[in-house]
Amino acid sequence: MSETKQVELTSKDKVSFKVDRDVILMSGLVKDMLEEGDEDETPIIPIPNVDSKPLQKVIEYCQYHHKEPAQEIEKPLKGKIEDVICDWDKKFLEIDQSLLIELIMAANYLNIKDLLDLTCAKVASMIKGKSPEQIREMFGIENDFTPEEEAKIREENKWCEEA
Amino acid sequence: MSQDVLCHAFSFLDYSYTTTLSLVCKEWYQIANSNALWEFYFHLLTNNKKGKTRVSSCSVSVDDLFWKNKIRDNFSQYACRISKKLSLESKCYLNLKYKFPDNFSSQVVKMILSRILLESLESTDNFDFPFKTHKLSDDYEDGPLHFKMKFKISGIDEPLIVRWFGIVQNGFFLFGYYYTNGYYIYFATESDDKLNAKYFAGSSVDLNGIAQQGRAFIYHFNSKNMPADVWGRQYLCSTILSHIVPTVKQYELSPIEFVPYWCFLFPLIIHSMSDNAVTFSKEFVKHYPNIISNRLMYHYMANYYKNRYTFDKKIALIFENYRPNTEIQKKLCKCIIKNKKLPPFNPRKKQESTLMQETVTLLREIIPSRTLKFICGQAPLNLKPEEEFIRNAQTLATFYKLLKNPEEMKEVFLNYKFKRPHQLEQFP
Repeated sequence: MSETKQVELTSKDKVSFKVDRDVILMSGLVKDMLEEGDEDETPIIPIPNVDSKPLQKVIEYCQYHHKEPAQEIEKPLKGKIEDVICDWDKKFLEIDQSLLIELIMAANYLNIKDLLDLTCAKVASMIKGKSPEQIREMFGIENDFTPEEEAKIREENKWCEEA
Repeated sequence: MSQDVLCHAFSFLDYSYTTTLSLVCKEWYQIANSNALWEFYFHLLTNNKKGKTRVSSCSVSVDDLFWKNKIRDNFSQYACRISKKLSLESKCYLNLKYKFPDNFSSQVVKMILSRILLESLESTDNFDFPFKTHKLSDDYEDGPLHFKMKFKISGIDEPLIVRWFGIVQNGFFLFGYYYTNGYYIYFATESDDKLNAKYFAGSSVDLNGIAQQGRAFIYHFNSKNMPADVWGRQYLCSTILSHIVPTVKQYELSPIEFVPYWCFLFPLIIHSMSDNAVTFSKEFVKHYPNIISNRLMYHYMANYYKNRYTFDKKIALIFENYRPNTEIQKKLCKCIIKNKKLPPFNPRKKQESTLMQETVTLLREIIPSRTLKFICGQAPLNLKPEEEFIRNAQTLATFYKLLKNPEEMKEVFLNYKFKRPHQLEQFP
């Protein structure tokens, strides 16, 4: 019998996901864990840092991309991210921002390089063309600079912008 | 988000975003200025084949600004270096009239410029540094000019020999000016230049012979209204460009793709070293080999010709506010604006066809004649009335569509402007 081996992932909020072993091997973390003890029929791997919602997304990503490896995203990003990724990825990224952030953390924790690249490039693309105020608003960040400090930063980095 | 993750995200941007990122909050400031990120920017600019393609773990410490300072001090200006033997001012600033299309390409150009050092200069004419501007101009009177420069480029062991030839053999005298065939710039490594030496015997120069040997790159700027010619692109790529051009696929920056930039930059460098750095004439920027296939150069040109393809919004309004009296004219107008199939035109139905022609003629007058040319090209001769009508109406429809879509207008204009036959790799 050549049944594909499965792995069970348990999220922070105790939801279990059954995934094909080959699929989840895209995660560097899971790969390392599986190599340590490889005896069980269906090993259960707890992912204590990731909620079920982003984990679901991660699995969705792996299921698609373990067969079709993603094209590397060139740095620096030219234009918007939508111009350089495949249609599936475009659809995949149609998520709200809090989920995107959670997804980045998950990709980082689970060590999935391509997903981390994709989501980070998305963040970079969101930053493009925005003012510091708009960025703060987007990510819910408090401004902790005094006007004097701001002026100083502007002055010391002036040369960066001179095209 | 953790610092590592943010640093990773910032690595998808280039350093022109530093101010924006730094101003967000203190944490972002630290990450945007971190050494690890700037080390990555440095490798991206220099040559990412060998350099790191990812940011290593981001250890944040603003005290250590080694890489940021390195980029600022060495690579942040449009300037190349000059040997102290030639000039006390060790830098030569380029006189650039137009900005590069985006920050990254300007960063790359600055980087490459900063690696170039003019080491020595010899000429048939005994002129010193800085050059006299009129020596470089197209209309000099005192015979052929030939001078030789030696450049060192960091990262390449052998010096680069650059020779400038002002060619006047085929020139003619008119209204007090000497009209010439422009100039040639020749590039070869020092050892190849020695092998080419026999072609520079005496005052005559056998560029044909050099081109056939394949041990040099030659760029010919034709001062007449003709495209520039180049020979030996492969040679230039393998000896020089492959060592200094970062290979970023997104930008179509492969060494061969940098050839137009090289042809653009070098005359600019040489001119900038003259006593009175000229701002380049339109003619100069216009002619580069293979411009369409190179996105960087293409956008640079687009910037240059920006004003040519932007139209007053009023023009579109004239179209929309045109209220003809008859049904057939109204219908025709609608078809033009919506870019739909035109109503049938039958010259035998005299009244109807006259009305239709009237509309088309009237609207056509709105289009500047220069624009007409790039939208529909030269009209063929001896068209039948119905053919001419269709042609004109279609031109109008295209024009209206392009008016509504400036980006596309730009594209069409540039295609028209630069799609000329370029001679590559063959000597006349």
